[in-house]
Order: sequence, then C-alpha cells, then structure tokens
Amino acid sequence: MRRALVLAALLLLPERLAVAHTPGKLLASTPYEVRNPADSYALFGVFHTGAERFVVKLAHATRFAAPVEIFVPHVDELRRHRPAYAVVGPGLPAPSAAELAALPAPLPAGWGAEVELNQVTPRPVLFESIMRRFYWTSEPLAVVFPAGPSEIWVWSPAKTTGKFGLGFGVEEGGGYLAALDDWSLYAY
Amino acid sequence: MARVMQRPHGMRLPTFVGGITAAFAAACWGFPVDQSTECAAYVRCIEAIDRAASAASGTPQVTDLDRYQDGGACWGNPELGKGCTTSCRRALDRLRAREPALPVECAP
Repeated sequence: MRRALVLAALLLLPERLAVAHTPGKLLASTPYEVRNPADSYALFGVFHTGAERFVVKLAHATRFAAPVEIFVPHVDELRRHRPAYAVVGPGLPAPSAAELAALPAPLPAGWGAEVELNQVTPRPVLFESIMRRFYWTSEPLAVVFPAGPSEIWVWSPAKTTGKFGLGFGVEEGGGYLAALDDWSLYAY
Repeated sequence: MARVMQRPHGMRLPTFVGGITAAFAAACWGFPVDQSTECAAYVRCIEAIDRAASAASGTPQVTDLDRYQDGGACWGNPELGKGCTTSCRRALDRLRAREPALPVECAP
C-alpha cells in the first residue's frame, strides 16, 4: 500500500516540479563517475562482506561547497552498521592521525581528506520525504570540494554489512523516477 | 475523505486539479525559508578564508557557495534548510577545532 502511494505521488507530479537527489547505484567493483557535481545525488550500495571500498569520482572546474551525508535504513538489524566516508583530493585538509589510520586506503601524494567516521551519538534519524522512509544518518556536513579531481570513499570501519546511501549536494534536480528501475535498492 | 476531495460546485476542473497538485507539492516539499544564521556565518567564514588564501598565494581562490547563500538551493523548503543548517554548524565546529589561525570572520 505504501509503495503504491509513493509511486502515485511520484507519478502525479511533473518531475521538473519536484526537487530530489538524482539516484544512483554504487558498486564496490567500479568507481561511480559523477557527471555533473552541480547536481545532487543519492547513491545507494550494499556492503556484502564489510571489506569493500566504494569510490565516487568527481571533477569540477571550481572549488564548491556542498553538504555530504551517509545514511542507512532505520531497521533493527542495521543498528550497528555505521559506514564512514572521506572526501579526498588535493587541497583538502591533512587528516588527523586517527583519521589517517581509519582510511581504507593510503592517500595519494599531495591529497588531503575530510573524514566522517559517522560516530555521532545518539544516532541521528532522518525522515526522507520522497521515499517516505526513516534512516540513521551521519548528519550532513558542509564540505569544500577542491577544483579539479576529487573522490569520495565509503567503507565500513567495523566491517558490518548491509545497505547504505551516500547523499551529496542539495536536492536540486529531478531524475528521481530512475529509482523505479531499481526499487528494492532504494526502498527497504 | 471523498467529501473533502469533491470538486466545489462551480469550480473549473483545471483549477481544481491545479489546486490539488499545488497543495500536494506544498505538503511534500513546503515553502522557501530564510537563510539560517549558521549558514550565513559559514559563508562569511569560507569567503574570509578565500580572501586570506588569495592574499597569501597571489592567486585568486574563490569557493562556489551558491547553495548556502541567501536565496540558494538550501532555502527551498524547511527540510532542505534544516539539513543545510546542520551541515554549516558541523563544518564550522570542525574548522574551529582544526585550524588554529582562522580569520576573525570565523570566530563564534
């Protein structure tokens, strides 16, 4: 019933009228290339082993600031699933020793990182009004992305498994109907 | 429920459908809100950092802060505004904790 209501709501509104993240699917085997960092994205993936590292690649002509957030479905079996992320690239701040030790891979020479280890307690909860779902969230963080190439790495520090979503940018695009192609990934 | 959704007598169908659509959109996404003080402070701070970096290096450094500026995408509705405000507060907290010599514009 809830799925039917959400579908009806999505289909009733002209897509250009509504603002939402552009959905996408993250795979550990293949970096996700962001075509236009000026748009906003909600990228969903699944940790199957807990050892994966998901990579999102961006390139932008100028420095820009945008919110970044990681979230997981608000279900009891994911209560301890707290994926972390790092925005890495040239010109970003040098991470602390603890952050550096937590990174899933060595930083390329000359690159810095804005690291979010997703440890806010008590764990914040987000209600996402397009899909009408609750998520545990790291809370959004404004990050200044450098001009040129940068990447977002997502990993699971405690090697927990399960779904997650990575949001960045402010919801300023349409394209959310693409979620219908892969409904089970985006909804839970 | 059916009574509530009945088209009022004399109202033209396009007006009725448009009204329902607008009400639905407003219920889902809300109306624009003002820029928060947290994000105004964040914008001032990043702009000051850019000015300092430009002066130090001799090369202009400009950060695109359009989303967070007054009238930016952050302020399209209350839900977006709340998320952006949280992101600004957390970013300022991190900057202040990490950088010992921030411009005065970044002070609490």
